[in-house]
Amino acid sequence: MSLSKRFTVQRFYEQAISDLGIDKNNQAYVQRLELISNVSSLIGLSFYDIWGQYYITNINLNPDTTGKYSTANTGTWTAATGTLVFNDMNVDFGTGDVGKVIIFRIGALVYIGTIASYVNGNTVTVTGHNMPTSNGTVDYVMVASTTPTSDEAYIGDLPINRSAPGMRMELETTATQDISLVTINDLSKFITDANKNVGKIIWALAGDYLLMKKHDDLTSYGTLTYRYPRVPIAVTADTDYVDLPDGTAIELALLKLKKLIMQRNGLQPPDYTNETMAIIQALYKVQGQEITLDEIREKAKAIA
Amino acid sequence: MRTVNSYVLELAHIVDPTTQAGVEFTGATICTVRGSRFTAQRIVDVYNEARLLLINALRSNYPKPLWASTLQAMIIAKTDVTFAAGVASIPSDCLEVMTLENVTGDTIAVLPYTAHATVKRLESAANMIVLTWNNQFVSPHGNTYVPDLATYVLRYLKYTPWTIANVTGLTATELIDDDMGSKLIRIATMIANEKGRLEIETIVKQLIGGKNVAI
Repeated sequence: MSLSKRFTVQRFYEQAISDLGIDKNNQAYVQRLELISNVSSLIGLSFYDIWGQYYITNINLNPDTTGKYSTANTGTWTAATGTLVFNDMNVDFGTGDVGKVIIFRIGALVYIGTIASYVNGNTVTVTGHNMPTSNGTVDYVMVASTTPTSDEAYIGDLPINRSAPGMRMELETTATQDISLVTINDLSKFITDANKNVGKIIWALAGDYLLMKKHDDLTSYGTLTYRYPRVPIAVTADTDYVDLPDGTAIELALLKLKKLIMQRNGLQPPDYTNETMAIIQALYKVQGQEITLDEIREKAKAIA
Repeated sequence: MRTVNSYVLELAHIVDPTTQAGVEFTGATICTVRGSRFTAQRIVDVYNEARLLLINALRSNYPKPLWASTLQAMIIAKTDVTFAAGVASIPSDCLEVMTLENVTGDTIAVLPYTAHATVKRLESAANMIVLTWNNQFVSPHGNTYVPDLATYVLRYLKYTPWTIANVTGLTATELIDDDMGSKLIRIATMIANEKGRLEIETIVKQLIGGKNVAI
């Protein structure tokens, strides 16, 4: 979800051209989506030390999209034991479904939980928040494959800011509390049946993959939630919101966009350096962070 | 706004006030007979030349919102622009395109053909583009994104030179305000008195510089 709640592409661009007194019949208008995406990226990343925290994103890692679903008839839910029975699944439940996310509907209510244990091909137990407190007829079931089936998960398609200063990537799992980031070297030395590693999962980042190892006592890696600092999202339509925090970031982005619009039109762009430096100085002061004059000049030079 | 007849008469009173017979021109007689110096057509040509000079000076020295406000009476809408296979003709009296839109008001960007290489890939249903060449609007992808319809709306700065008939007809209205009109007469006077082009254009810039136009 984009950070700005006020500025769509249309509003952002129209403000820029209103300030400049030019109309839409120009190359910059046609290229507005690319321009605004580039400006968002520049401003977002140039000041990641200030607003990087707003770009932290959670995602459940789904190693594959082969899930299961109910095909006909209905099933049953027993509240006392958290047992779900559904005979008509496209594929029967199996032991490998433990730890996967399950969504089921009882009447008008939809529940989401995790498969806690396998009973038989038609029966599993489910845990989660706000589970039904009384027995009921289950109308529909879906099971999503969120448990890795191997020791690696592909993250190459995620918009990760890999150069985020001071930002940590984190991995959480439903399988254990003891999960930690290690180097690839440490990962290779991990003994999966050593007593000291009971209940542990370790992971390392290797290019576009998360590599993982777990102790043998854990039946699966559980449902993995990966938390990472992302880059600003590119806009693709006039109705998209700009992915910058409202306020100072938008002001800086507007200055840069106006300069780019003028350049694309073959016009002499105004010099916003002083204005930009003043905004940057005020920004760091409000945040209570130190920044030298040289650093202000460098940042202003890069974006003005 | 005054009539074209009154402006041409004012010009004549400055540069060629009487007929060849020595009778002072009036609103009823201007351009019906030749003057002492100029034929009827010549004085109308001088007036048109001054008019075009003024319009172009405004366009090149002011940003669009300012000159568009000054020349608002000359901006018209043509609501039946017809695109076929991504092509539509540009009206022959179009001096400058203001906006081109479809019937629902969605903007179609109008760009020079030189932009073709860089904008072609960006055209889409939400980002319609036409390029101008060969006196036509041409969409880079035919009628894929600019469908064949006769309801496109073109707003443009329209210019057609006045004719003797417009002067003698007494009713044609000059489409600029009285302030600009007085500047127009001064420019026309310089042209009639064969001042150099550079001198005329310098004076024109000075004349229009004092215009205070609300955006």
